Amino acid sequence: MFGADTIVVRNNGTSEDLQGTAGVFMTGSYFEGSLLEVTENLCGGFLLQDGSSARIWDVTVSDNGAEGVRTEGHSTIRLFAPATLKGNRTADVSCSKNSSGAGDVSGIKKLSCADFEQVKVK
Amino acid sequence: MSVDPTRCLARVVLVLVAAVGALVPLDAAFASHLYVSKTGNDTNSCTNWSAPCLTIQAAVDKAANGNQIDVSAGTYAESVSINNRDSLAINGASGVMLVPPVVPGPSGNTLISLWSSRNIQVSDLVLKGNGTSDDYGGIAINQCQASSLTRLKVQDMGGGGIVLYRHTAAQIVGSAVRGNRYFGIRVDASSDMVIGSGDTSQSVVIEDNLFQGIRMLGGHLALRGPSLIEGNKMGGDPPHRRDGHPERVRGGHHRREE
Repeated sequence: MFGADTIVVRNNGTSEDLQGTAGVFMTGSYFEGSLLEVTENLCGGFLLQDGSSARIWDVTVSDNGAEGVRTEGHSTIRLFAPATLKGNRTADVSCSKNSSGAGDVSGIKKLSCADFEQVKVK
Repeated sequence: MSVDPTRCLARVVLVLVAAVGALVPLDAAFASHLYVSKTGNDTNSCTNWSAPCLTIQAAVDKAANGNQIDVSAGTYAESVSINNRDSLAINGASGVMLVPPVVPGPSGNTLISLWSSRNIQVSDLVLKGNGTSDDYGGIAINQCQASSLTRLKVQDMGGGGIVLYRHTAAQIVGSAVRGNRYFGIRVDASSDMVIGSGDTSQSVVIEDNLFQGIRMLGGHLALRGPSLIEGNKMGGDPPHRRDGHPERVRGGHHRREE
């Protein structure tokens, strides 16, 4: 069904949920996880809002119906390598103003985040 | 890079919650037992299988801190409230199911409510609603520390599956939360939750809930494998009452920030 240590987030949302929700949706919250596969959600992969933060190790975010990762409202996400983000509908990583992200951009195909800190975080 | 002490504290709390769940075997920690059976009577002492309680709530009311309540197979139509207790375990045998009662019990419209307690362990139960909009929620944990939910099935509830409120710390392992008409799991208001343990035999499945599988509103969550979050349907936040149950109105999608 799914890998021994893997966290799979897939096939969540409906076709009406292209934006405004996500497989992992947090408001004012903190999240951490590793070995994540966030794929084929009809909505976005991660949505962080209102001061949320996330630290994620070894993640694949692909083929989601909206952004792979979206941060807004002073939120931030740190993607620890390896991080593969590709094939997401609108962007693989997207930030509103005042929000940000950080990580190794080599695995991110479509980056729409002015304040993304392009570093290898381990 | 600056270090946020709040984040560090959150991680320490999460690790401690996981350690409590991993290191304390149920029977070793809870030496004295009470018993519940469908053939029991709530006027019994409930201290041996020959004189069990009829309801789980009666056993909870008779239990001292440090007791374990063993529930024999059967369907129990009741809601259970555990309030202001320290170290109590409820352990179901194979085939124990908890369903909504005809008359609401002390925990209102939630099948199991934990309030202001610590080290409460609930294991091997099926919590099953009837899937109607005014039906019960599964488990609500409010202002508790070190709550442990193990090998539970929380399904078809009219409300949410599992909700954490206000400064609660909890771990859930080896469990399935599916087919509920609200969120699968909601982590609210400075609560800490660990989902999964890294033990491959203790996977957590959150699927086919009508709203999001996991919704975090001011909470801290550490998610560990193996876990599956799949097929949860609705987006946005439904309006909800303070008891964690949804209003009938649908929709409420998040307004996108530019």
